[in-house]
Amino acid sequence: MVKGAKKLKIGNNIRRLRFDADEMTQAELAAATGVTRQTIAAIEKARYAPTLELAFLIADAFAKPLDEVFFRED
Amino acid sequence: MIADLTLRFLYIILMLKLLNIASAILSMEAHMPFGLKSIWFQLATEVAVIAWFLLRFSNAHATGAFDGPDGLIVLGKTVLWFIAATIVAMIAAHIVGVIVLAIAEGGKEPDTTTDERDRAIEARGEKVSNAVGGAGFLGGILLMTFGYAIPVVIATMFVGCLFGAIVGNIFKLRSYAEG
Repeated sequence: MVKGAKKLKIGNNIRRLRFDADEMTQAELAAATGVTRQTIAAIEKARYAPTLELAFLIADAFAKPLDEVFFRED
Repeated sequence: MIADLTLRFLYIILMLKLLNIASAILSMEAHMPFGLKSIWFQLATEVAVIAWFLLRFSNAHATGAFDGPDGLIVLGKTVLWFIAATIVAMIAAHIVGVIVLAIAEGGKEPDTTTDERDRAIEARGEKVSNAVGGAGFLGGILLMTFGYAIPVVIATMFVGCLFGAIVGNIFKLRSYAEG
């Protein structure tokens, strides 16, 4: 990141989307995207920002466009 | 005398830390990823090796094993032996870790899946480890400029490297806890 650049706060709707997707578990989403359940938990709590590739994979798992899964909080 | 007391004090602190790590291993939660569990085993091994080295070094230093014309040869052999022992101990800890975790999980093979978050944490931990290890090397050079004996300088560098690995692993554990 460029020095002095503003750090973006990125939120997500993963918790709600999992609920809507027949109460998909974190483990199921992890298996669908090829990461660990802990990584899904960290992303869901906005403690870890995924790479663009993983973000697209998560969106694909819900069959939603990226901006319905992730959004800017500021 | 002061250096000897400091070494013994460090040794006691390390032994207490080892007990603390052992209790953390015993109370590990089943859902923790394998990578995270394996860091605890690495940490226990590094602390045990550093404590063992400090004990052996302080005893040898106190008995004058590093003095005399063959002192540096004895020192070189001791450090080389410990480098080899560290490598063997790390491999053994990994194998023991896999076996213990497999037994704890009812014979199931542990899930060794790693992903981008594990790799990011690993890379950041390595950076911290290298920085601290480098500081240990510089510390050894600094001690040399203050006129400390070569055995103390070499021991500082070796302990600095191991300490770097310990700090790197603690950093990784903290990163996992923070997300």
